[in-house]
Amino acid sequence: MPDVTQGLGAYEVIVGWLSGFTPHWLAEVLYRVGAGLLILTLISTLALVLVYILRKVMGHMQCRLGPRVTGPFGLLQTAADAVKLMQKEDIIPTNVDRFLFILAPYVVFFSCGMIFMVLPLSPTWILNDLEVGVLFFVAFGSLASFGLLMGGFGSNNKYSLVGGMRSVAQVVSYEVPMVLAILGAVMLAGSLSMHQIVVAQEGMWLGFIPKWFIFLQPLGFVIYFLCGLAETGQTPFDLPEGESELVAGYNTEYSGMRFALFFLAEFGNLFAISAMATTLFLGGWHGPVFSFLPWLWPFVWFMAKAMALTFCMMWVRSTWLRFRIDQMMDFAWKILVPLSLLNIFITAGEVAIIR
Amino acid sequence: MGEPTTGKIIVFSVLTAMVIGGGLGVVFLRNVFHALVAMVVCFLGVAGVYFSLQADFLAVMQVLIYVGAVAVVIAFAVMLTRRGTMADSNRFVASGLQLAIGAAVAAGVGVALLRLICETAWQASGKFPATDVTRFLGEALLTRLPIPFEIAAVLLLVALVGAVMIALEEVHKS
Repeated sequence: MPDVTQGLGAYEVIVGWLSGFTPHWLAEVLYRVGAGLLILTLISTLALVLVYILRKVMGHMQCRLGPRVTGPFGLLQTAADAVKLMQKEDIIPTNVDRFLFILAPYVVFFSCGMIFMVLPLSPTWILNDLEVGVLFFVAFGSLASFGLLMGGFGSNNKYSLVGGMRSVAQVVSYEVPMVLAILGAVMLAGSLSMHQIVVAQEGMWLGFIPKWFIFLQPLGFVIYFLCGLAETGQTPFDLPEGESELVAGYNTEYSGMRFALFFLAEFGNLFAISAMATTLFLGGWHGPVFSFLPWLWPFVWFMAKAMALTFCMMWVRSTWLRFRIDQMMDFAWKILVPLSLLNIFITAGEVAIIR
Repeated sequence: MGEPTTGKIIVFSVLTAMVIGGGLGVVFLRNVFHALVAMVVCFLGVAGVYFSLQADFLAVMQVLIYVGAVAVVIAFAVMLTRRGTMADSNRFVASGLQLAIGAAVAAGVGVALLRLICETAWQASGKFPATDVTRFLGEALLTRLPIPFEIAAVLLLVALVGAVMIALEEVHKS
């Protein structure tokens, strides 16, 4: 049985190189620490880029210009914001539950980092190709809601508490249709491993239609996308931090770097949901590979698809209104759950025909 | 797996510290919500132990069910309790008598378990472990063990219907 932690294609090379001048176990440890740092860098960079894109996209959709003063086209705006957040005073209000208040942002960020571990960004770039990668994604996605609840409860503030409770209620409800929608793709691929799911989508029908699962189950894709929005608290479902009624929800009392951690995790999750949808329904890294830098193209295709989906999420965010909490719960239990069950029946029929 | 390496020993020590520390935290922390967080730490440690034994499916299920569902349900239950100050909400910590009884029961169960573990002749199988555990489990549940599977399904359905009934009563009252 291969060691599942060796998914990154460069494992042999890097550990071999490190073993040259350190003991073997230290090389292993250094490799894993490096992989962790890689994830942190990836999330931070993504957040910087996505915040800029979000402000530009929202700006132009709402007939504004977005940031344009700091640097050319305002490109340095988010970097400046990040520096500002790092310099801010670390304020911990007197009456908060210090233990929970301090721990909560790390729990949320930890869950976001764990999710990135199983994303197959290219055939060789998957840090940990678990046999149960899909379930791992769902499991650690739900850990974030507990972090939000800790933050909301620890803040000792009724708005924060209601925000935290809402986030948990939301995640628990929308997890059901989400897992059922994911199950469709898993049934078609016959595996829970992210790598295997992407491999199953290789090739073309009739020579020109790519074998992506979205063509077999558009319904599953739509349900997954909606649930993804709800799981990460994106706009039509951003009730945990609904400004109109809850000030800023669970992060009302947070400022400085602690707030930045919530913020990073939010944008990390935004990308992770798009990346997961790409993996499950849009064929992952598959796309035309050209002879120029052949190892780079899968990564480019994956990022292009995930970014296109992220753009759709931003589009939703800048145009749609917020739901009410009871409407949202009705939507999950009375519409999405029956539809996702229907999707499973359709998928079972498709599997019977294909095999 | 072979002989334990330095790395494996370090990982195992850290995870054991998480499990035992979390467990002690659940018993001794005075704030119920803090005790809940300690319990989540304990669950995550157990999941880590499963991961280090390459039982990925069990580990992920541990996180999904215990952290994602059980801990959240307990959190909701904590919200429903009414205790003046959260700082002293874990009632059992303060009472020495209860602590003594609890320690005695725990020690008894521990001794019994240890004795069972030491007396059982554990059989080491020479068979290669199943590579695709998830597929194996799924096929076993739907072919060889359909009755336990169906009983669990019915049980969950009953719980679901019961929850809806209780919620409906509340709606009718208001």
